Amino acid sequence: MRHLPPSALSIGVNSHGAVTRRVFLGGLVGGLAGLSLGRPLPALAGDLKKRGLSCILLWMAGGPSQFETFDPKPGADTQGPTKAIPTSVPGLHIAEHWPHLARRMNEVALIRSMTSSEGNHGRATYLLHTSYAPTGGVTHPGIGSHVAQELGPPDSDLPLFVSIAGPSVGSSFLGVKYAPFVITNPEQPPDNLPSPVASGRARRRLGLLTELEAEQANGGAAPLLREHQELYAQTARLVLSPRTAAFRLDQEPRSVRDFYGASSFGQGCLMARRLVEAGVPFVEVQSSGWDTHANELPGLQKLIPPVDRGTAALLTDLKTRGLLERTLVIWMGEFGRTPRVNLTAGRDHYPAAFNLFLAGAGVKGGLVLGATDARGVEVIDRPVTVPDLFCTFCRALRIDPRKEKDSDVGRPVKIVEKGRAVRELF
Amino acid sequence: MRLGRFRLALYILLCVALIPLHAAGPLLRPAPEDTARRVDAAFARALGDKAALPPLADDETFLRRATLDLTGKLPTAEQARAFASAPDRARLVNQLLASELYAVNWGRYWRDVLTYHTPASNNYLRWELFDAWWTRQLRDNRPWDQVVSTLVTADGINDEVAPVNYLTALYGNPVEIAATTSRVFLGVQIQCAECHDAKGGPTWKREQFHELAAFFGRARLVQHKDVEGRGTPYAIEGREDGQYGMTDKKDPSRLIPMQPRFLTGESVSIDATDSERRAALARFLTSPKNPWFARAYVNRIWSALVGWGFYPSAIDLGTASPSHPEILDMLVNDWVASGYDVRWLFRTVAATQVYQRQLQPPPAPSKIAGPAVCPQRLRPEQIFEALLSTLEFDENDKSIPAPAPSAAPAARRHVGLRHMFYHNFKVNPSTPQAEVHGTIPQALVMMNSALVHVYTSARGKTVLGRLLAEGRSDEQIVEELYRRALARKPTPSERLICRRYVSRVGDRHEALEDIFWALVNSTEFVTKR
Repeated sequence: MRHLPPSALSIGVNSHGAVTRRVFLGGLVGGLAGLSLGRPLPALAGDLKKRGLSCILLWMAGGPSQFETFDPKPGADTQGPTKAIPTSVPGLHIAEHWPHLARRMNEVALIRSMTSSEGNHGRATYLLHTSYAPTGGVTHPGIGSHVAQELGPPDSDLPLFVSIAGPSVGSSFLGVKYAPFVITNPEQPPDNLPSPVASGRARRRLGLLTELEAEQANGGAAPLLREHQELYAQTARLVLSPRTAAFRLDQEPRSVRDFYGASSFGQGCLMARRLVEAGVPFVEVQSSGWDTHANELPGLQKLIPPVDRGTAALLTDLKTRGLLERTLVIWMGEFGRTPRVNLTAGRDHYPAAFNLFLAGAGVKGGLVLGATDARGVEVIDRPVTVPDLFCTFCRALRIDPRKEKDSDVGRPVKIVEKGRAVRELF
Repeated sequence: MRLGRFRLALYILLCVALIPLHAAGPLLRPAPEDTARRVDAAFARALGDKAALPPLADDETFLRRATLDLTGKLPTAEQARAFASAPDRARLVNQLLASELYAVNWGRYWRDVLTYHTPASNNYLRWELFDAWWTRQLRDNRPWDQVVSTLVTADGINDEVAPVNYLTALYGNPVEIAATTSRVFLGVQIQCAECHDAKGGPTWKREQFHELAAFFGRARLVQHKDVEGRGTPYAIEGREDGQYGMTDKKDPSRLIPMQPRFLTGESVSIDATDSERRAALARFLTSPKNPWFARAYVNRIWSALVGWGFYPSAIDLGTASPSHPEILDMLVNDWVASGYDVRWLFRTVAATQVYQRQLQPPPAPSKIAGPAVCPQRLRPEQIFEALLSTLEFDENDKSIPAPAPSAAPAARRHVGLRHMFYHNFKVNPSTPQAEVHGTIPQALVMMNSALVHVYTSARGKTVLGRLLAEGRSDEQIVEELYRRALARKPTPSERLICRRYVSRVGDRHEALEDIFWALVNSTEFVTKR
């Protein structure tokens, strides 16, 4: 096993109080050999005092029905069999499928007057992740990548944007550092993260790689070689980092895992909390199956309980740990569903009026913004556009929505081009 | 020599007889080797006598470089043997250009250039059909002006008429189609002018952008709902009436109808039909009088092969002057004279000493590169092909996990393992080399994926397992692993490092697995040298 001289190694404390270890690539040999250090880093218990803001997006892929979530219309011909139940906020009723969340509505700002014109899954998913309608000419970065760039510590050995159980939207021209690191299944280690060989052998063969690469160092490919070695050093740092424990749910007590519910979504919420606690600025957790064109009710009766339980547990847990005031939680999908129940007892895509909620990071709880008419067809009070919504996210996270970023198509692109933050929520 | 002169005379006669198409250009169709020689001479003149130029690359390096560039694959053992026994570089290039792999490789390149940004679903982009169409254009060596004309004038349903997919993948949106057409086929970055008069570089007026978009103003996107078993594909159809309008800045509720007018000033009537508008656009785009069309293509292909461009950006010629204007002009004029012959340009660039020299480091920002190839990262499909031939796995093997990578667009360009690699490594082919960087998921897939782990193993029906079963020595095995992964022999010091590693590890199988793993994970494996 090879060791670097101590001078080649620096251990420091970053702006978030996280212990960092940086291996300086002193020449090309040694870059990866530096990884052979046996000393484990202390896992971060969470120096929360200095930790910045974070955001958790709970993404309901397919487009959740407002009638069966948070804007029921009891008595209307459009409502169907789902009933409304009271919540912890006096006078606020939501669909009966959400008993756990009903008790947490005092933490939540509900927007019932979202409106957009994108009714295609791909286009609307893009819109609700970027604030822009897709154009085909420029790929806009997702909000996760913007938040990762704006709020992420520069020297993190964990990814700055983690997407659980869904691909999210990529970082485009913001580059690889802010691309979503995708966890396919929260109950298993991330794809390709665990080394298939023991860590001793992993270090040994990284050392061999460095040694062989040094042979190439003098040719015309030297700059690429340097970059490749830096990338491998960074990746190996992640693979061998004790902080990847943030991805390991088996380190949580059984009681906590049960509290979030034995579902992929619930466990994803728990991982989101662990990641935010470890300093990851943006985590998305996806729930799929909301595209309920047919036999809606039986589908939702299966789909909603784990989401209800996981979401409510997340809000409770964040609140208890003092993290909610620093974490913006967003629950939304790409559009709503038609007031009219179709011939196959389902509802179709409906972007004209839909609902979603925000919590934490200074957003007032127990608040309802906007309204649709008695049949849930039209927004009749305080319409909120998608750019308005994204300006609101930015405000909660203290990011300037008009900040321009250099794109790869020759013109700068703002984080959000249009819209205004919804002031009433703060 | 007499015969040669006779041939040339006959050739000229034929050209005069058969190709009176480009009356504005010279009638002589230049031979690639001649143009290449003049390009090299011009570089030598520009640099002066004292300039120390890198020597020519050895045959092994040239074979890997040309095979990757033209066919997207590593050379096979058979190709390596054949080329070693008769190392004729021009003949090799001709063979590669004649192969189906060339057509597939460059077809995929252009598919990615045109559809990289679009998140469109399969209904908007029938990529299999679009891919096959591109392959056919390259296989048939269709002249570039005809290819581009076909794309901008296409109409019909996109699962019947392949080139229509260019327009449907951009949602039939005149603004996006105009911006992409201008950027990709002209290298003119005019989209800024969509909202305001462009500043910096060439000054485009806002009107000019919308006049360009107006060529597509009567092309309408229509979804076909009633096509049995084909999903709901989209079509581009001409509209009888209606005008493309630019928003009036003074009164944003008002649209100002725009007359289609090209960047060089030619226009058609505001009453022109959709097909008249787009046919006129195709003429203006591909006219030899258009200063950008040929320059953008030549600059792009040169950059793709040589690793640096006369202009730093393939999609924005306007913001800088070219590094060697007289050499670019020479290539552009000869290529136009060739009749926009796509294979001709590949042949010409590959015949230059610039392309055949040893690698030089990429130039520092704002510095001009020397007349040699700069290293380039392989494109995603090239990396996958390299892995496929190095490790010898079945790309349709469902037993190897291929976790879906992040942010794959709805219309998947591939499935299974190829999809996993393609999306992990995907990059816009128009991106300048200096802006292409590796990612952590890419490194993870190479370091830790089940695919690489299983197929670098000494156990089972693997390359290494077979070599061991054949009773080869460590030395022979190392040599074969280098040939497979890097298409070259190991250097003496590499042999030494490997030999020492085997004895240090003790376990022979484990040590050879690690060597194989290290070669696949090396910079060289993912780099064009």
